[in-house]
Amino acid sequence: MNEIKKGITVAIMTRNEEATVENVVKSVLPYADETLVIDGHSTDRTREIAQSLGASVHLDGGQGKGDGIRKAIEVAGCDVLVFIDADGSHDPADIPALAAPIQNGEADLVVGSRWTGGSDELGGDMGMFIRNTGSSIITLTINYRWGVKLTDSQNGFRAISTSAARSITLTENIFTIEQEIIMKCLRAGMKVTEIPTHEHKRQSGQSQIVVWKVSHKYLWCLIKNLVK
Amino acid sequence: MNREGEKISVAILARNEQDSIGRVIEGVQPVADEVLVIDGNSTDSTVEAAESAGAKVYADQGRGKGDGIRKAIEVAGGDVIVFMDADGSHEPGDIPRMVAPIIAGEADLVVGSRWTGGSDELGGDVGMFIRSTGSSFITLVINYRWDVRLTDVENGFRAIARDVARSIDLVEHGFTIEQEMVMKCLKGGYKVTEVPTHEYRRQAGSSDLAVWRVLHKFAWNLVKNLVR
Repeated sequence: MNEIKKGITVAIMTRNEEATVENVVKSVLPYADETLVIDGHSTDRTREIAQSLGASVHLDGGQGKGDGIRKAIEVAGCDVLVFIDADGSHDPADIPALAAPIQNGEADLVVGSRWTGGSDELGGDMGMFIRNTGSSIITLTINYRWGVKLTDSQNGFRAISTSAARSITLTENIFTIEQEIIMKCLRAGMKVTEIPTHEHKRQSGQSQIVVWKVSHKYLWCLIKNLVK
Repeated sequence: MNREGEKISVAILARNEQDSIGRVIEGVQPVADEVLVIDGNSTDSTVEAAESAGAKVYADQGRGKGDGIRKAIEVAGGDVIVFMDADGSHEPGDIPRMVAPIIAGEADLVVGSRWTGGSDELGGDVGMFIRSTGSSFITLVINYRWDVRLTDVENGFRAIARDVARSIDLVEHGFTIEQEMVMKCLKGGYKVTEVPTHEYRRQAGSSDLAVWRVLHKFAWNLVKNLVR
């Protein structure tokens, strides 16, 4: 692990995002002292495009988003680490607001909330209903277990103190790492807060989560982290 | 039908909101041709505060919010009626975006969506979980029944063409009038759309709605309107 400088590392998590990665990298650059692209073994031109724009490109171990997040934590060079998706659904202009509470020493983890910020992807059909309800139950359980009042435990758009991220042991390989990060920070007595961030409609592609096939993994991850 | 040049009535539904009503009226005056306050038998000085701020004040029959909405529809002088709450949770700056589709002849009812616009009141504890899950479920049923894709059928912040409002037969006395209005518009073949609107934390008071006591009314109202 490398020396940590003051500043903001933005880690863009990608997997076959050649259609959007250029826009995302370019729009992130003004807000980042270091721009990482953590690629989950894309088979398209994602890495090539990211590299040509000046991002520092790393491959994760190919096991899923959790794997990519661990890689970002390992290679980040600045003391605040911001995670953002590559599909255009997160607004890079929110990065300073996500990082600020960490820079001011008021929080160790700041999660962007789609509940307070709104989402263009959150309502209207059965799949989304199941996803929202499940996500709310998990958030609620975390709130009552640790006496906090969060509204969005699943959003991948978030900032964490790099040293805090390195001090917790993250083991999830897939999207369950989002809730794992929150629970492990809370258990370690760290301060977790939220700011409103709007989730825009994806510019391309579809969510890679098929919720009914993975819901048991979320539940199991929740239970493990509640009792351990 | 293009409705350019048509007048806008903003109807503020109030009940014991003396602390916030003045500011809400001042906030809407720049975007309204007529400001109505429909008072549901306030026992504080809401009526006096509203009159001195320059609103036309009417009393409803004291049977609930539905009653107030019917009164507003009856007395409104504008061609488009905007409904909003008196507790400061709705943003008057959203009103022009909300009436624009009606003025342009593209919609008959435009509901402000807290799902796309975000809410400071929707998450984090069991009461809010039940409320948002119930509300999502009702929205989902309406979407599949009428083949639309709405995200928030319960928000009271909305705009409707007055002649449409007068043509549908609204009978609900309580908060169930919100979903009734959506369903009766859809049933009447009217066009219902949404715009994102953010719900702010109430400036004063707490919700008048104890959700577990009225849940069955929302369900019954849904069933009635689905089958009739």
